[in-house]
Amino acid sequence: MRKLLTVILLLLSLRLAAQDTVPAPAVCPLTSTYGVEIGAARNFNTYLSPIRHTGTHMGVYGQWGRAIGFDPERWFGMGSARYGMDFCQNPQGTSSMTNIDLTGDWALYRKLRPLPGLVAAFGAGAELDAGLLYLPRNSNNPVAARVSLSLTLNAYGAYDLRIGRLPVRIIDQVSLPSLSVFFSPQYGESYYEIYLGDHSGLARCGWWGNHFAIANTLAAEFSVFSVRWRLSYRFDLRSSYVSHINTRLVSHSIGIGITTDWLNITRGHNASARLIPMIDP
Amino acid sequence: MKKLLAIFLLCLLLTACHPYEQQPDTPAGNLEALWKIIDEKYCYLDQKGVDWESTRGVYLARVTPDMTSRELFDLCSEMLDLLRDGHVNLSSPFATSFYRRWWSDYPQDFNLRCLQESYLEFDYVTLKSMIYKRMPGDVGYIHISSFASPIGENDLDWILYYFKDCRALVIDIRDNGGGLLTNVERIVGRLITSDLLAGYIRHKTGPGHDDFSEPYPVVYKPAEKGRVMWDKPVVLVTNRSCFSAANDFTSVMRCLPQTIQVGARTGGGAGLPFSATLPNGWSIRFSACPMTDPQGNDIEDGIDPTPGYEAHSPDDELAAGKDAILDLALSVARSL
Repeated sequence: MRKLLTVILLLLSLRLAAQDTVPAPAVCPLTSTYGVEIGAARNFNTYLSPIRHTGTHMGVYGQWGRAIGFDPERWFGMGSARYGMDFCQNPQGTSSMTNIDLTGDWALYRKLRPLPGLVAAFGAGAELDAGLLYLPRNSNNPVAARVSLSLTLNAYGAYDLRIGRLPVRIIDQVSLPSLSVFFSPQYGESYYEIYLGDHSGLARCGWWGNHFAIANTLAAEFSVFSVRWRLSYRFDLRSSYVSHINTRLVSHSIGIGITTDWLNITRGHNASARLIPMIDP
Repeated sequence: MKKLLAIFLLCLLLTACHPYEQQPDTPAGNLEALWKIIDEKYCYLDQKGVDWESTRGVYLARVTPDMTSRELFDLCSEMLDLLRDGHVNLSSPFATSFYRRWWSDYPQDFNLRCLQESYLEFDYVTLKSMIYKRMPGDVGYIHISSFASPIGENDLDWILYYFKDCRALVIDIRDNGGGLLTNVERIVGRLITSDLLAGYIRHKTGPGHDDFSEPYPVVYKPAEKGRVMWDKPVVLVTNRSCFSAANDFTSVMRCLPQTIQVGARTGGGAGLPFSATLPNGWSIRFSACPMTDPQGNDIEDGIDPTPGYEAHSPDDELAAGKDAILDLALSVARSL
């Protein structure tokens, strides 16, 4: 009887020990940032004009990211949508050029922790960019439209530090579109001819040699009055050189935004669930 | 890993940030920029036999650093006149240049006051850029002074329905300097029952003088079902001041078997114009995409009337109330 009791207690203890090794379910909050930007733009497109136009850049954006369920400690996904407008003029102020840009992207990142407090992540994804440049003074070439679908290389870094008693997270994000498919008319092709049905050669294959873009955002996140603020600086370059049409759109902007973490509580989650944020240095 | 990084950095160096050269805002820089725009983008240099290469040196030699804006403007305008093209205009804050000899060297052959007073007797309907009236002998008459503003489908319904009992239609486009090609398509759409090859358009594929795409057919479609159509004879009246879209309208109308062109040769202007900007902010408009008729014939220098139907209206006769071209057009329409 004593032996039997010993065996039962042993089995029970083994069972409890086995239960301890089963990881608790993971809960991955959605980290969202919404913000506005303002800055300076410097654009030219030789289809419209050989002259560079400079002016103001304005934009709004949303960014959403969360750790990925299959391995939330190591992987996260992040997407964003961005709408920007540039209001530019030539140096004499005799012609205005408006740039409208709409971008959506998503990328999957692999997290690394090279140093305490630092998270570096590298990834790849896709970006859809659409927009147009409008120069109303022109006759039959007032618009240069752009559409591109690109595979992107992405990098992300976050470092937590304290400024005085204020915890601050410094973030740097880089997106580098690489191979792409993009739209461009031929050198002197009118949109009237495209409207008539001449669609040959409008879709181009892009690589860094004919279609280069990069966006870098440096941001600081900190909590004040129970709100997580994000102050950012963004550099955005979009350029292409195809059919002898040279395009370069450059903007520098500062932004302010608000970051929140959204937790979706579903059945099966309990108090023992592990909370795994997108970034946790 | 180091090799991979080196390849990555090398790729970044080969990016699409190609060198960009902007001429300085000086008299020489502006003339140079203007010359280059025309050299690389104007579509009729070889066709018109213009020695543009030598033009650069000739005109740069006349530029002085202290010349005024007006002096520079006059010099640039003089250079552009070598192109003999009514679609080429240089626009500055104080003036716009025009090459006028495509019409000023020819008789006008039209007087609006004579038309309104002696033929329409100040009793006509005005609709946008059109005036129209039912003339004696069951002939509908419409004068379209411009294609610059849109002519709507409903406008055409009202006019064509008004002329439903007429035996023929006279469309007078004298002094029409052009405008929107979509107006041409819309009007022609009322006169055809199946797709019509209206001509060809090409564009430049690079900065070389011979860099052109293959001609692309311009096809007009009939107006949508339910619209008022016109299948009776048309007499088209033209003069030398019919330019650009009006010239194109003439070219397309000549494809229709029920159309006779009466009057004088049109003024031409078959290149779809583009614009660009100079470093000093002036705007240059120039012919960029050449268009031809359905046979591939060049129409840049105008279109002659149907053989046997050329006519002129001398100024003294117009002043006296007689329009010989319109007289011929009306008599042809009544005889059809």
